[in-house]
Amino acid sequence: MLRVILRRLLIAIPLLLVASVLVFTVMHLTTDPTAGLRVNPRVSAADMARYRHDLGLDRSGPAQYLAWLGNFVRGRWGTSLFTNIPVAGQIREALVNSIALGLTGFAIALLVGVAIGVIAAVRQYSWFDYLATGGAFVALSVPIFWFALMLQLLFGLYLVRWLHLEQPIFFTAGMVQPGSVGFDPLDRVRHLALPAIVLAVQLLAVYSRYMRASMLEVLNSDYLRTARAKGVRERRVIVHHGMRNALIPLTTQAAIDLGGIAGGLIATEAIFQWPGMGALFVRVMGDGDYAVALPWIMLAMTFVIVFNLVADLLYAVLDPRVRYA
Amino acid sequence: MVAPRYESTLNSNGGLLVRGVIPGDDYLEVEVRRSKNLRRFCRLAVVAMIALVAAACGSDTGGNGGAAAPVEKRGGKVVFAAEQWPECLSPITSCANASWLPFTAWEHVMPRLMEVDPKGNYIASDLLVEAPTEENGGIKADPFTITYKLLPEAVWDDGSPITSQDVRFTWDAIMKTTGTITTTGYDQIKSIDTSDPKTVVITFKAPYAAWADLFGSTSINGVVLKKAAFAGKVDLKDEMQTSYSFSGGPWKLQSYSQQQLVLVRNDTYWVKDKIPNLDQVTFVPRTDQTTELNSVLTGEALAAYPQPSRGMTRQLKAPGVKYAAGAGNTFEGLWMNLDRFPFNDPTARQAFVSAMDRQAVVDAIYKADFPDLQVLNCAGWVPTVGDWCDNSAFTDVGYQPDKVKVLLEGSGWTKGGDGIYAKGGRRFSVEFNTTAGNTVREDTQALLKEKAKAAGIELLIKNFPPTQLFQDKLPKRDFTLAEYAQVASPDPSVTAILAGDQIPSVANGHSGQNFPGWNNAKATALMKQSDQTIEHGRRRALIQQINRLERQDLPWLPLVQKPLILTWRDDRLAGPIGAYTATSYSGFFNMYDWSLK
Repeated sequence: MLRVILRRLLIAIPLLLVASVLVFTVMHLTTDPTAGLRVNPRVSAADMARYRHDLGLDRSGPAQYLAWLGNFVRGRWGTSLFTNIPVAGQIREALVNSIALGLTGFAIALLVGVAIGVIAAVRQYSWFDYLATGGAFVALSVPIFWFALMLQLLFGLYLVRWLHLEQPIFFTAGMVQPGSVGFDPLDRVRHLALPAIVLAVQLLAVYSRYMRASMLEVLNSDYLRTARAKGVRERRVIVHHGMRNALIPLTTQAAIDLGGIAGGLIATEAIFQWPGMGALFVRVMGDGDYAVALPWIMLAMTFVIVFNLVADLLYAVLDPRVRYA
Repeated sequence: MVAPRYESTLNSNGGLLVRGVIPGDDYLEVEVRRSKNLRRFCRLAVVAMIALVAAACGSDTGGNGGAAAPVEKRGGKVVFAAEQWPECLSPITSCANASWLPFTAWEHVMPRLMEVDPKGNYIASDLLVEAPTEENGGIKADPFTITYKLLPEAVWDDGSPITSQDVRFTWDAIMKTTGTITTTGYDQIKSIDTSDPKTVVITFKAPYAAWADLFGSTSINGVVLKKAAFAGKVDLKDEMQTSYSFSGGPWKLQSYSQQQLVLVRNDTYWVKDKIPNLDQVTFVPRTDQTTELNSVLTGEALAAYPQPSRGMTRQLKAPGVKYAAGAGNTFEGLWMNLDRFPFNDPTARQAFVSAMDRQAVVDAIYKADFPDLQVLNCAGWVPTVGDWCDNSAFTDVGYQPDKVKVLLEGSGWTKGGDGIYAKGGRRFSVEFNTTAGNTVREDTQALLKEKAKAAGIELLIKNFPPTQLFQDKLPKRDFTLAEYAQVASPDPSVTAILAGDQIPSVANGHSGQNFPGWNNAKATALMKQSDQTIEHGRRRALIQQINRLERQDLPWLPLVQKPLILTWRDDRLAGPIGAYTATSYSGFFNMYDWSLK
């Protein structure tokens, strides 16, 4: 097992390097950090030349990349090309915000999705099963942005009007009440709710389908029949014996999804103005700010690689039939 | 072995009764009771929902103030939506190029020397006794010198006086900061005399007509910084990224993050009737326009300054919501590459503009939302900014298919079987570029294409993402016809975008903004002369000459002034809201005069 882990981590290093080269090359060829200045009549050609020199943009692409890489491997993430704000701080703040949103949505999706999947499997072909199946297909088909906007209108406008509320039950954008200071848990929950619901709905649909399919497979297995024959209570049969095995495929999928949180939730964050990794990515890619984009890519890829490894290891832990050489 | 058959029913307790039956054999019955924990959870969930609704019903002193708050002239906290978010706060390095930085931050917090009124004319700011003129000795010709007299009572928020040293320091900082965004104009200053703390005497190397833009107006780095706030530093590349430690305006910056920017009243502001009525204004990013407008409709934000789009005014027709719109200082144009077929032929350009139905564009695309908008007939200036544009130079340019026919057929073009003119085997077919995803521009293209086709000219629409258009296609002059916007500054200089030495090329590293490649020696000389002409009347005459030369050569065709719109909750806010909607300062400029109802 240790050898597997080490091998995967070692393979990850060239992967990360290749990814950083690719991203830098694409950004270097397609974006110009000084583009906004080119169409400003108050910025002369001399200003442009001096500005590019100050930012180090008059060096060749390879020189810029190697300078960045040299600093990065020494733990010096530097500052944004434009703002001189430390990159590490920006990414840390965005990552924390994305994790808060991602984990909340993920937790809701996992808990509710598993429950729905189990009940739908146990009560196969019941009205609940049909409702859950239909709901899952609707959730998978509905565009995220449309759903998010409908939720904003529902909670921000219509419920406020119908119930004559002073404020929405759940706020429709941002992370905190504007103008507030300090940490207010209830305020945070009210801001987190809608984006978490949007995120959860998509994952929930997938997880409920996964769970239902897995449960149906195990429900008819011999060992469950034996457990029942031995007099084990049905709830224990389902939860302790059935679910535990049915969760294996879902666990690995969930681990992979967790790794994707660091990559940001671009659409959800954009609509709800959640300053997470997705929003940061969109901004810096558009600006051509490779000083922030490259560490972002490295971090996001690291998360994906690590959580893919976790998923593989979990599979071996949960299923004793699986062993890595 | 026969597999058992399972049946399930509900029993009288509400629990699930599962019976396993093997045909011909006995059965096993198991009751699955509804979990006590499940009941407890349901009760907790109901209590939590009641708590949330109660929280929503309760009044809140933060944010929007609430309709139940008492009507008051003074005090209160409000939230406004910002469609773009400044990435940092520095007014002199790269973030300064973002228009929403002054809209939300420094124009409310930092003092400036000259200002621009709603009609686009330079006026003295609150910092000055009066605007420098030749009559009051504030402008001297030789050497060219501008003398500003600062108000004795003008102070920073800590009570220390704003002095000429602060202006001198600002100049040093702009010139010496790593990554300073522009030194244009500041590099024309020879010296700044600060012997009198309340008098700033700026001596220039040569007459500089755009002097009023320096340390003020609406320009990038148009601020006065507080020298004492920077502990002797002159290179401010790391300063003012996320905070300002001083204020010389009606507001003070309390905090800034990626989630909000908070301004609070500056009670030490020396202009007493501009001390804000409101206690606090919080700007929040709402970069998705639908979310931005929703936030006003829901009342989460009380005002917004969105980019106008088609149908927006219909969305804003809601109870309690009002908007003010007007023609802004940005104008759309059709820019031709004068080094590419067919626009390398002046006659072809004349014919082309006669195939462009500008009036139809205004009527079909803009009038429904902005009924006062008109076709723009000045090439580089707008009627609402100063008096440089009398909106007459291009009035003879209209949709005239007959004129197209006469011009083209008179210079050897013939109409093909497809209805498109051709000459020397080449059709009058033009690739037409603009920013992809901009529905207003795309609609404009579609309309112009139809009209042009009827006149015998083909437009092939091919659009690019803004970054590609402005970073690649235009600087490399890899286009034939493009639609994009320019800004009409209070200072009328168009040298940067139209002078012959501003054409981007491989030789100069693609710098310069004269993308059409207009190289008219007389026009260039007039532009340079105008940049050094101080007397308003003479300068205006030079500008008119440049305008006429543009009409003659037609390097581009003005279309329309882009409208600007401010929307707000009229049921919550009071005051002269909307007065600055169509200015370069944004509609928020006079928010010191706004109050809660």
